[in-house]
Amino acid sequence: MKKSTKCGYGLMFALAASLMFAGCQSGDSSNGTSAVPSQEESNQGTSAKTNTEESQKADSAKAEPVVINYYEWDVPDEAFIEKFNEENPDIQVVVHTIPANGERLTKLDILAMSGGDMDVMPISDGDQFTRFESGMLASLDEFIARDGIDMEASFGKYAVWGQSDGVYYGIPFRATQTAIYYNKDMFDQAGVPYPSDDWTWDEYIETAKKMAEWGKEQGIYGTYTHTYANEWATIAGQVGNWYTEDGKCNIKDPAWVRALEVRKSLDDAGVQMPYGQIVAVKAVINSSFLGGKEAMVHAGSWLVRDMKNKDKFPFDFNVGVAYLPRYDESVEGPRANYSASVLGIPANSKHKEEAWRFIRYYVEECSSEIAKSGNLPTYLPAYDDNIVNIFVDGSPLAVEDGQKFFDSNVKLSTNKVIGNHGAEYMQITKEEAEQYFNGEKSLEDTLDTIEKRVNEILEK
Amino acid sequence: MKKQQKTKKLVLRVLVTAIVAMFALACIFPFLWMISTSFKYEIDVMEFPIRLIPKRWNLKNYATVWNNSNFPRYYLNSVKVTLCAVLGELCITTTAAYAFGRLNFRGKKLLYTLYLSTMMIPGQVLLLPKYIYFSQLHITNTHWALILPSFFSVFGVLLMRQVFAQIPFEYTEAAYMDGASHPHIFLRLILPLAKPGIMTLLLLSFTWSWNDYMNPLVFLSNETLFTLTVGLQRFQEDASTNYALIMSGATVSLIPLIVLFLFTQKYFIESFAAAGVKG
Amino acid sequence: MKKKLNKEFDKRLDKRMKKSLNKIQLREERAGYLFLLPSMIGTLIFIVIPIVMSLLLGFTEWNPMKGLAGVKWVALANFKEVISDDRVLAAIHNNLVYSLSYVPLTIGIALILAAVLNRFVFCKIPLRMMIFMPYISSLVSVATVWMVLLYPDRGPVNAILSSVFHIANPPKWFISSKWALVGIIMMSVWHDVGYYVIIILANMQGLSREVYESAAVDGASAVQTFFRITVPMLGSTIFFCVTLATINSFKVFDQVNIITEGGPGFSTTVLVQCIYYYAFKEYRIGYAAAVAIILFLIIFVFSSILQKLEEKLTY
Repeated sequence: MKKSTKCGYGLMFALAASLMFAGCQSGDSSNGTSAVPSQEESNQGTSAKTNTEESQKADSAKAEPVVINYYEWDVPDEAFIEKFNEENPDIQVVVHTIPANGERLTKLDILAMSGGDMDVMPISDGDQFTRFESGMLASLDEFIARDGIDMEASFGKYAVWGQSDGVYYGIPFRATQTAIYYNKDMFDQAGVPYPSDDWTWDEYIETAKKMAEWGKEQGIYGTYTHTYANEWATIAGQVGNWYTEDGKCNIKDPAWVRALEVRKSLDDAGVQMPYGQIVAVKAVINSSFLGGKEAMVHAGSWLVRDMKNKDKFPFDFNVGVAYLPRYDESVEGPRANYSASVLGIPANSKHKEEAWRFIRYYVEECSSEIAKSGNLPTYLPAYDDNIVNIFVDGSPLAVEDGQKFFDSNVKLSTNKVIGNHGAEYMQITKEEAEQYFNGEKSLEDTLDTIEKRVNEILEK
Repeated sequence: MKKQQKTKKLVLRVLVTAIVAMFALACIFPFLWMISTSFKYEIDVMEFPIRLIPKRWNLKNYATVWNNSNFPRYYLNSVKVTLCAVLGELCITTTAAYAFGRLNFRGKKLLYTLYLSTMMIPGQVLLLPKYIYFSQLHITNTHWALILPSFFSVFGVLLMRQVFAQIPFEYTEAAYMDGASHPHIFLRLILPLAKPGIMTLLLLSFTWSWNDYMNPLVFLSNETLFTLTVGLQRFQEDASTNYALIMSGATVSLIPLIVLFLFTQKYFIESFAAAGVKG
Repeated sequence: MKKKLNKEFDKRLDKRMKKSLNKIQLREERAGYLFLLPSMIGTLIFIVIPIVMSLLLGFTEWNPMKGLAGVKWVALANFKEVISDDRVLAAIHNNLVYSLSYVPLTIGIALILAAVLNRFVFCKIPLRMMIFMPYISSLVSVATVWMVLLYPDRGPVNAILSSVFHIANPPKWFISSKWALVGIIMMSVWHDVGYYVIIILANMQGLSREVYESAAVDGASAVQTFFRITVPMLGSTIFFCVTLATINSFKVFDQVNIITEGGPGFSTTVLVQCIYYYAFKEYRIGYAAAVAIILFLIIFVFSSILQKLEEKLTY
């Protein structure tokens, strides 16, 4: 009896052990193929993606290169990173591509907060400010002062996207500037003149109504306003203020009130796809517009990237670009809505100096790479005529339309809330405005609730 | 008379089958959507009403998935991680479940409640502490971070306890009186009798491990280690979607699950038939 | 005299029996601990420690950027704030509505399906496979199909409601604060039924066939057999599934996140979503952990009630 007991346990442990071994092997082999041992020691035990060629190069340089881990969901072209590694034998930049969906920031946040090995972190479109405030990123002021970088001259209007309370935590590297894209073929068929370059909001509404009237039978809408937070506030952003002078919620600013009303009335009149419907059918801007479901769309410069990708979006009509409409006659000059993504160095990074060198290289040298991928580079000194050509190349846009994204006369404003508790402000506004658009709450109720909830947060 | 009853029963069976079949047809609708999406251009994916037969066929998606990413590598990683996780889980959870389901010892109830309680914490709140802790254990960015925790699946213990407890005690009493040891009873009597339950655990834990997205996303940074779920999401672009490509990959990744399901269900019928012969 | 001796002998025998019984018990106990040991060690290291770490954070304010130095003990301050947090209160309400309707629906349907899929219908395996399909299909595809089905203006469900049942204002489902949660419950039930069918089926394999046969001889109808034999014999399995479904339903997140993101307003906000929001949108890790503790307590109360109920009904 005793024997059989031992036998049984022995069997089980053998089984467990063999499994452990199998698991171990799987872990080991995958590490073995991907990591260079010497680096693993120097790099907190995690493996880094390198290939033998690169490690040989590192060996020949005799110095141990510092590994910089750069996480990114939109790497335009890895060639420029290889070039950097070649030119800087003491640094080895390793790119980790992550999925560009909703969880990407969770992944980056966890790495940044836990002291995981991340040295260069991209943050986009207004997501940066809460992170700046929380101390997730290192201040870059010392580096900027030491290298004598004039942020205003280098980045102009983009500079504010890297700043919080007067301290720089991020360097803008790519931007999105919005415009109204219009389907030229539809306008031709409807006999409606193309949007002019200095049109106003009223004219925009008028045009959208005309196009909706024309497209009624075919189920084509006049225009499209997405459900992004504050997307309804784009044009009103030219004159509206999110905060009162004493720093309170200013949602009752006439500009915002009008913007909310316009979205609602266009939805109700069938001029554009209603808010609830966009949510209910999970509509997306590029498929919708390039699929010929509306005559105009307000979208970022990234739509150019999608127009280049014929495998995903085969469409056969001509597209024009108009500046964003002016709020009213009191607003002058061509306008656009914009936001910028920045590169920052997590406060927990152990190689800030090297990370900074890479950021500078990326921002200053790779503008054309960024333009090629359909994004706008933010480094102003790199702007030249050629960059517009690179930007529109492969898309049906005329060069003069592409030029509109690079026009230095354009006055930029944003629909995002930049300031005290901006992210929560936008979240609250989204939660409440949604009910107004769906016809469940009156405008007054909506405004009152937003004001109350935002002020509660601001007082904290 | 008896014949009449028999035909009545047959009609009833056909009728019930038809009703269940209708429900079942509705159940595969998402799967059909996945397949149809995998043959579409992205521009046609989100259409209303749903068009199951694509308006224009895009046959390139599968090739794109296969060529443009490390798809075979992700697939291999998924297989590796899932197999290790599931086999380890089967060993460890059945052992623990034998203690909970067939043996009496002091503190059993307390321990059982403790096990159950660990299921009451949502994984989302654990992400950050778990990452910090696992990086102290030096298992982040290795497959261990996915494999080891699933060995100790509490659900597995609970399910197997339930299955073991269902087996009548008379089956094992005789062997016990004859002096058979617990490991012997466990390995020779209980495990064979619990085959349908074990197969179910195999199926369910395989499914979870295979479809897990958040853990590989958080714990793996090195692209060569990515599993399918994370790897496929790399087709996602900023301010855009890429369901056509993702669904092509997802359809291919469903195949092992379907095969496994059919394999385990065959087991159900067989064991049932075998039990019938014995009885 | 002889009688007395006999009695003495009986006593001694009794004692010996007791002693040997104790020995058996001891042996069983030792085996119990040994069998549990590997699982206990691993569970402690990989499951319990991270949980305890997270839960302790509920009593702190933590700035993770400063590492352990950033932990500030605030005792119950987080919980005081939770009590007046509209988001959390709405979530608790939604969670209760969700679980109290999801659990009976799912387990009820799963039980019936399992009963007919076990012996009654033709093509058992293909049908089982099909019913399990939603559970393994990608959630995006499941959500898309449901959003189209429940599409307010021209969706099939509302078309039937208005043309067949003559309902003038069919619900607006996912874009209405009254109906969005109902839509999510319907989708979740449908999505998870296959999963519980599989678990119940596995436990049904142990049921003795003879009981069914004798019931058939007695001329019991299918419905009678179901309620008089299947349900009572599966008693503990049903409790197991109900417990499981309760725990899982309180942790609902993915379905909500993919379809409504908690909206419109707070009408579909659930607790796990609050946790996610506070931890990764506002970086209030401690506060998020406090919400998790509240979720834990709610689930714990429900599962304790279930356990008490099971003890009462099955013993």
